[in-house]
Amino acid sequence: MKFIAAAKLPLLLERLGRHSQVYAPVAVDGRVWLSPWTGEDIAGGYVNPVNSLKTLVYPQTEAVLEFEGGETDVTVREASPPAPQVIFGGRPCDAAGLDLIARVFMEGPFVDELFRRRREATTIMTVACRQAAPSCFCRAMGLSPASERGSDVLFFPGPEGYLVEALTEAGEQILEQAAGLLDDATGDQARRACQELPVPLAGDLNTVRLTPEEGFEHPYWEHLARRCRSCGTCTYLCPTCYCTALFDVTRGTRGRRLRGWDCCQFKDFLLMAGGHNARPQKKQRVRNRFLHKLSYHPANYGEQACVGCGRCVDNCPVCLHMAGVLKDLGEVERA
Amino acid sequence: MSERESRLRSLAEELLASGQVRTFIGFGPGYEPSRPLPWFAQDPAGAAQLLLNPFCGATLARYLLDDGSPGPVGVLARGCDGLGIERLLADRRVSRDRVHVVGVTCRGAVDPDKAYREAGDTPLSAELEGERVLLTTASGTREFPRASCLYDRCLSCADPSPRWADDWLDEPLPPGKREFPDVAGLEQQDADRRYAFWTRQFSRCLRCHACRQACPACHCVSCSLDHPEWLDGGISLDNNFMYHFTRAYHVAGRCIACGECQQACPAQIPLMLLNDKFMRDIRDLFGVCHPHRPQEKEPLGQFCPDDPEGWREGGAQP
Repeated sequence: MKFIAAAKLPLLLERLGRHSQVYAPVAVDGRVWLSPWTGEDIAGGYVNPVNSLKTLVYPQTEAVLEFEGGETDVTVREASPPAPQVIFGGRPCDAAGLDLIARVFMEGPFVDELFRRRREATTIMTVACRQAAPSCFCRAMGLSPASERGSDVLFFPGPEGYLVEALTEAGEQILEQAAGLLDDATGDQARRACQELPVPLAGDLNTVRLTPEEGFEHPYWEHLARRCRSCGTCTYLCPTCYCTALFDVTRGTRGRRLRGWDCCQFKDFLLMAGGHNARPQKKQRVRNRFLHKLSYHPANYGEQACVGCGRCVDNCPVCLHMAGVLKDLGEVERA
Repeated sequence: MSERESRLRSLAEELLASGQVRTFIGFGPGYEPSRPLPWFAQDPAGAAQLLLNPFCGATLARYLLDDGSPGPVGVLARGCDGLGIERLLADRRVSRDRVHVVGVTCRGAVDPDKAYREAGDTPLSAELEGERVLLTTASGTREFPRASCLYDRCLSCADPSPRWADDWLDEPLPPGKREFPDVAGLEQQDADRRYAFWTRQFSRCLRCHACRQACPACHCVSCSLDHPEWLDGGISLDNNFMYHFTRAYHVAGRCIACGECQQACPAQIPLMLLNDKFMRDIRDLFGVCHPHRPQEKEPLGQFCPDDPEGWREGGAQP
């Protein structure tokens, strides 16, 4: 285990920035975002950045290809490959979330090339947690404030700087580039503090499973959906939501095919060509969000699609969130 | 239980039992005491769980659009809810005979996040007393200034009570006057600085539509911002500007100043600055004293053949 003094962290990011786009936690109007880093103060004292790691590896919109031409003669150009990027300051829950959706995009017979290219061009330098928000529930989801999943390097913050541990080959390369900035670690206190940090919402929420046969027509969904406003706050902040839309944006004879996030809570999410909407009711859409995370995803991947980051808990304007639903489902009578 | 709360429960129970309403919309128990949930009581048992305390935050008027039940709907209305209901009635999205309004006077709602920060612990209850808020946590009750505990949207509120109601839980307070202090501050900056300000704000927009979905004036059955021929789905600064300008222009003259858009925004974009700018201009240009309260003659919302301003090119009268 190595140690880097807090004052040397900007030097490390500067060094990494020579060959990669560096992202770091930066305070913007009072809240911390993982932002392109150009020497700004590196924020501390935050629990989770507003944007999860997902947003930088699977951006909200990205170009798939560009096209130009008329009816008979069309030139198509593929989007240029992503530049290498290093992201410092995401949390262990988000790194696990990124790994969780990487399985969706990269496992199995169909690999999503856009995602794969960017994921492989990305190095994740995660900072373990020394504080938890009231909304945090990573432990209940089988993770912890010091989980290693999805990270290349793990930083354990202490009063003078960080203990640094490389977890992958890409992580080892980062440490090589950091030569001269690192010292040998003299203790293990910061790591233990992260590992032992209590997380407010505890319990075995990750054993909650819901099979559609049991729960599909349960009146609970109607009850839950009544208060939903059908916005996309939960899905867009979620580090494990990954639904995608593909669309063309054309100006005159030129255009771009874009791929971007979609949201199962929007009323036209399943609006088909021809006008049929497969989920016209709010109840159906709300139910889908939770059945996806607690039933369909576990059926396909053997794990729930939630890492307990607490963003939906903090940001849903009407408290319709995963922690609450998991609590409810533990109690709710199955139909 | 406060007197108002027990009155609310018995009133809602009565309305439901007599069949005067099929659903009563208010607040009910949430996952923690400081976050009551929007609540839809459909029987006396549901009515018995209604809550009324300073943590009741979200606005309720928009839920009137959702209701699929055949009978009338009862709804708890603070000043902001009342204006929201008036908005939906004025825009003919809800009909008067389907709404039963139970008015209550609100002195501001306590933001549970602010309360947590102030008290350093999860708040269990809150009480408003003049300019102070009494917050109770596991370790006791302490006093904090109102401004550091209430939702931002409540700090500039000029409408503690709805303007009318079918039943009242307490004495309504007269409306005050809305001021626009932040608008002047922004106007004093030059165009470049204003542009830089809005660029920073809108560049964080996620286009999650939380603002639109929270807004009682943003209730079109089909929204142009969902249609790619008007606004494509690409997230870019240009498109985000387009999104927010379209929304701001569309609610100009109809915004009720509830501030729920800004409250709902996960990116904390100060949307009320835009809305306030429009309201202040409407006040100054059209002489409308209370630009956020629905009125018979909407300055930007009606056609009038004898309009003093010409609408043809060159300003000629039609």
